[in-house]
Amino acid sequence: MTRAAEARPALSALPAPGRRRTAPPGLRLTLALGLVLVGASFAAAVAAPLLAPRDPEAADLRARLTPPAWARPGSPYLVGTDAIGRDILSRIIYGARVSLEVGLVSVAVSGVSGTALGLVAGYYGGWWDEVAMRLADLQLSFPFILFAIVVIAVLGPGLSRIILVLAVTQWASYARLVRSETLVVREADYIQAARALGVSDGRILWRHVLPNAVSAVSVLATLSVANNILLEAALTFLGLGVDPSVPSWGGMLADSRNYIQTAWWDSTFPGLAIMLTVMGFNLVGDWLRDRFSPRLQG
Amino acid sequence: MRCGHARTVRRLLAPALVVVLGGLAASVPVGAQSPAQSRGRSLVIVQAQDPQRWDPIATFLLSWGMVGCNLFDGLVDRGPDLVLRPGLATGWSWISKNTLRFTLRRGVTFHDGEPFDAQAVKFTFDRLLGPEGAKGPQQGNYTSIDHVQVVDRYTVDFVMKTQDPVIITKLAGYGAMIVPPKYIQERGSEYFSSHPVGTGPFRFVEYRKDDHLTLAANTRYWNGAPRVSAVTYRFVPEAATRVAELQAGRADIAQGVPVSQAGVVKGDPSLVLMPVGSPTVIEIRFDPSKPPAGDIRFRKAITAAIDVQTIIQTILQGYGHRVSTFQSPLSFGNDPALAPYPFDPQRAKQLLAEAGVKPGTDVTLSFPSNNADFREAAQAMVSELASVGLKLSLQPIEQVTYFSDTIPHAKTGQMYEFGWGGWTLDFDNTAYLLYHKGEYWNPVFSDADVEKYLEQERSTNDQKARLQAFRALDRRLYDLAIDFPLWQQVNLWGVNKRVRGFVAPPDDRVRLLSVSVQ
Repeated sequence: MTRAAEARPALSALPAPGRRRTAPPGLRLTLALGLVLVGASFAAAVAAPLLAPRDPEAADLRARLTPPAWARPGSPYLVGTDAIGRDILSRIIYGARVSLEVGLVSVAVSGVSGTALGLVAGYYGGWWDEVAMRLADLQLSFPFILFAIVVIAVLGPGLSRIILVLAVTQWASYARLVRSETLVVREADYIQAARALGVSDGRILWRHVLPNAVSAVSVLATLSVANNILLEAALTFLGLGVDPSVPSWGGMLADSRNYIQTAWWDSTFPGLAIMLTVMGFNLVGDWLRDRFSPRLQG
Repeated sequence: MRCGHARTVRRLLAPALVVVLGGLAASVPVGAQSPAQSRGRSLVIVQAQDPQRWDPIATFLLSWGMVGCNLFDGLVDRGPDLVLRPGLATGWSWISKNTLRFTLRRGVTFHDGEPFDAQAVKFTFDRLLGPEGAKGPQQGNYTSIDHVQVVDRYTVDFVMKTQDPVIITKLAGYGAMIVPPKYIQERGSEYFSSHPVGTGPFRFVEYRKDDHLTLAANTRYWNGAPRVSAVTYRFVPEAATRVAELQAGRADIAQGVPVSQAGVVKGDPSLVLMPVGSPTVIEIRFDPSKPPAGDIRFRKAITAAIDVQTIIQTILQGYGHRVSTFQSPLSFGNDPALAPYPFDPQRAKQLLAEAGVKPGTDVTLSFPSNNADFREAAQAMVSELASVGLKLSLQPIEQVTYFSDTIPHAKTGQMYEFGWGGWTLDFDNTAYLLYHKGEYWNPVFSDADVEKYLEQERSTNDQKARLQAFRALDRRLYDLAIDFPLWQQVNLWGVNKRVRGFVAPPDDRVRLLSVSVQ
């Protein structure tokens, strides 16, 4: 990147390197929107007890399937109640916790383990590389949903199992990405120099190789958060996810599908919550990709 | 300006989503000939479950009975009115204390042309009571029969090993369906299980696992030819999809319409919703080996903390009847004098305090994950138990695992959902299999008094004495609160108006002999 920027000033028609760093106005707008959406979901997750108007698990059966307040003036439920008579808005706000927890923790676990394996495989090569990459091939060739069903059938459903399934199925993408970055970097002069100076392998990996991979990993991680939120919703929808009484967006969709023709609000609002959060992460992820890692552009 | 714009977007977006999603659920072609009409005289039924094994001795599923009653006949027949009448036998009588004689119907043939006679009856019961039957779940229902004796070509004697007050009813269902001896001997049981042959009003045409089963009318049926030409049973596990298929006209009859969709079926001008009280009852069972469920005060606290009546009125929209023991009012042995435990959260708190159960104690409720109505009820229970200081965790389990592993191996939480068909309409079958020590469905519970009453009602044919024993048993189970019976299930059937003569059966056995289509 530095080299490219140095070559450019010769062509006066191109913007100066400093100018290039700011995104075009359209991109800035989408970034802002993305940040607002992601920020809103974080705020909901962190401050749920303060933001939620009601207890998300308190059911009032007699008020079940109350339409949103604008459709029934005077109703105390802003976006209505579900089939058990729980406040949908409060459940959506609390549901952000499950979605973000799954999205972030699974990405953290798979990202860290995948990156570590990728670094080792790429740097040492040989036997390490063979084992790690064949494992990755194995992992990538296994259908996700089958794997998820098997794991959950054996271990039983639950939030931690979902995180486990997502982490186990995704480390391979990070490992491959980081390995390829490492392969490029390890032949670089400054690595050779560091090695000649007697710097330990661990320090070289940590200080010199890893920083080169971080930008690509962060792009992949951000996009994966969005993807994993969707997968969590899908698994919970299939009944493989969290305890049905714990508010989660996928669970809300699953519970509401029988009422789609009679109580549209029951499924629409959790659906919108998923859509907007995933969109937010995708917008931020796209921006990061454009900014840091042009090679990842599809 | 901006504000107005935002509101417009919101107003457009929400309904647009609903239209898109709703469109996926049910799309009805406009103007085109309805798919229902284009099927002519053939009928399509959508049901939730594929029983997979069509051999009568290899199943215990209501979904089998739904199809099996059209393929097979028993010596005795029980229609949707639940009255017993002659089937393949024209009459029967007890010729001694332990011998039951049947006179068989003449001129009946199996679908493959094989004649029906006393040999077929003997073959059927030898098979059921022998090693082949031992592999399946039906044998246990018929162990009171010692053997069947051929008297002449159209007369058989059932020689009884023990008293069995419910034997006539049992001969009208499941394991007692008469099967063709030559066909099974030549082709083997495995082939028979996927290519069933009986004497019923419809004959087997085609079966594709987890997809459909097709039957064609048996025009030589002894009780007259069916009015429809063929019937296809399609297996659709997802309730909303069954309703959508019905609405779109791709199915004529839908089994198991969920309460949440009752309004949809009712509101459709081309469909009729038929509710019918079933022998199926739903309850929460306790596993007394898992604390604190071993404490009767805890169990009674649960019965006082859950407002079953409100759950029935709201979540079930009234399609359910409160029960106090684990049997429907249709069941012989039910005691209408026993009132269900009342909803009383104060009492629940008091009982929990007496039992030393600390506020915030975690208890688990297991249930099969595909049961949509119970799933909602369970979530309401979470809220109700929270208000008496219990933290209820829900554990939905995939249904095959649930019934084949979780329950029989006592891997449930302290509480678990249990539904039971009770097709014999006699409490004996239910009570013995559920409360007798060491039964498949009862890995944990045992009680000396319960065993005593079970023995009493089983050992006599005197219905008065049996009823007395049942009442004592009812009382004992009620006092022990070893389970918490919730409601008698009301089954909802969705039927296209072109179907005539359909009677919603309480026992899921949809008789198609007199059904016709317009």
